[in-house]
Amino acid sequence: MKNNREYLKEFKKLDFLLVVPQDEDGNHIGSELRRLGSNVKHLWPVPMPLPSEGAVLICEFSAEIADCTPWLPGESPLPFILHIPRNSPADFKQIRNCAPHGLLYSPGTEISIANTILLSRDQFHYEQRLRSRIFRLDENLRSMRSVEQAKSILMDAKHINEEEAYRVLRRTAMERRITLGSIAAAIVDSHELLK
Amino acid sequence: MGTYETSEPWRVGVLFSATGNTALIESTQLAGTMLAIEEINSAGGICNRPLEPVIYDPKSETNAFGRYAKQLMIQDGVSTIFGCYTSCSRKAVLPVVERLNGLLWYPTLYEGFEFSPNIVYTGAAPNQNEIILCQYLMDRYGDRFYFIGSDYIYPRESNRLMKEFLKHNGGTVVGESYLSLAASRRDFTPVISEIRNLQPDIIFSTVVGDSTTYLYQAYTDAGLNPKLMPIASLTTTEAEIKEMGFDVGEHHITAASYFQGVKGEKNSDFVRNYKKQYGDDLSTNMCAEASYFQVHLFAKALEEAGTMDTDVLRRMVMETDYEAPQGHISMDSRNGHTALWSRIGRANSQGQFEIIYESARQVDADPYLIGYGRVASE
Repeated sequence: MKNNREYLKEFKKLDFLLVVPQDEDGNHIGSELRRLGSNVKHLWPVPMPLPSEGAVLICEFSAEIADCTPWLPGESPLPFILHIPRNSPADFKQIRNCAPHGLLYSPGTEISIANTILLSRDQFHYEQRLRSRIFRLDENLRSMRSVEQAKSILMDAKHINEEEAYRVLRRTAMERRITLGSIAAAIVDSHELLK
Repeated sequence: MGTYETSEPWRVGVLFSATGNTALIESTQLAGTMLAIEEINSAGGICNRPLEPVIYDPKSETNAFGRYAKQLMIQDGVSTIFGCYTSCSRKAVLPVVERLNGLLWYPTLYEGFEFSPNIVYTGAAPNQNEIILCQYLMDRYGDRFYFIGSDYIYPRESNRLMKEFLKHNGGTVVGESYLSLAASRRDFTPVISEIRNLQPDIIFSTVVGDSTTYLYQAYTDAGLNPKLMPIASLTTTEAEIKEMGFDVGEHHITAASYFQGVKGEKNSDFVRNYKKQYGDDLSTNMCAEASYFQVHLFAKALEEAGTMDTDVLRRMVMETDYEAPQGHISMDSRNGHTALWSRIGRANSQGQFEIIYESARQVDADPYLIGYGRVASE
């Protein structure tokens, strides 16, 4: 049993923004989080716009909540979890429009609260990693063209073959601690100036 | 689903600026969009249901595009949006349609190097206008280019490619300037004097919006000769030429998939209906045409799909082709772009473009320029 709860250590010192009423359910979530060692900043009523500093934002669902987010759907800067109060007539379409990373239903058990939060956080971080991968892929696609050009410039200037030209590029990039793309762009640009 | 039983309208979002720096061209995109919607509705709609546009004016402000896209998808319950001119506005809408799984139809040429499963690109990618233009200019006018552009993503990216092709074909960039989208006529004076001193063979312009007029006017004021040293552009359309004055625009060059002067019955109908709707003195242009045909393309795909569900609709769109005013066009499911025609036009004294080059057939889009090596040739 003790081993199974090892993962709850992740809650230690985690900063939560808890935007829920200070009623039984709201206070329950707050005290669960504190018990797990997290720092909780409790805010109510809903501030406009919703704050985005902190590690996780848990926010009470309402039909208007999608309008309170300062970010566009899909661009939330932190894990965003909606709290659905008991007997809430929450409409699924409205929930979906908020593009949250997870849903926390009250009343919730200790384990359901913890697991929802951690999975939502994982999902958020995974999304961030994918985004940065796409960003880098786009950058690489652009710089590949510069690398091709730089290679042929080097081949001409130094009378070396393609393989060697590529190695020169890689070594220079490593020595100067910059990306292959930027060293290639620099070579292409300076070559242009020399012309 | 009950799709065929209801006569409820299909709601679609429309996001083009009616005011601000790029309103001149965006209002023609709105005009093209609305004309197509009216044609579709007067022919009985799609599956007997009319199209109902929900229109917002983002006033040429980038952030407003993102906000209105959110409003359209959340408050108005719309999943398909026709809109955007500048690349910044497209990039503002992109995360919204991606996260909420909508479809943005983007009827504007752009710098390429993008693929979103939530965007349908119906304007030209660089291989469909820029590369062909570069080659033509070098053959006819010479290989010393001066680059002038508005200062944002599209001009910088587009010039980066142009530079690459130019250089590999033995040309040179003799100078380069970027001015704010809000540049005034006076801001162009020093650039024009620099151009006069450098005497390039070509001025390649990626200036967009209102300042386009100022560039061409400053050029004319300086007494430069467009027959010898024309301004070549991918964005100066019939609309900008009208704004700057036909005499100011004369002899300058633009590459585009469409000009009002394109031959064919489809285009005569389009031009006639456009003028009937908006006035005889208004010309159609590449952006209005793409805005127009993309709504028809959407309607054709929706008729087949019977649902606005993005996943179903998009699949159908990618298999659709259409007889557009510019000629036969088709979608490419590999990259979400459109196979379009390549043309080069020279402005005449009536503010129209004489077509001086035309591709033999539609040209597949190659947004990442995978099939284009370092040499600019087909």
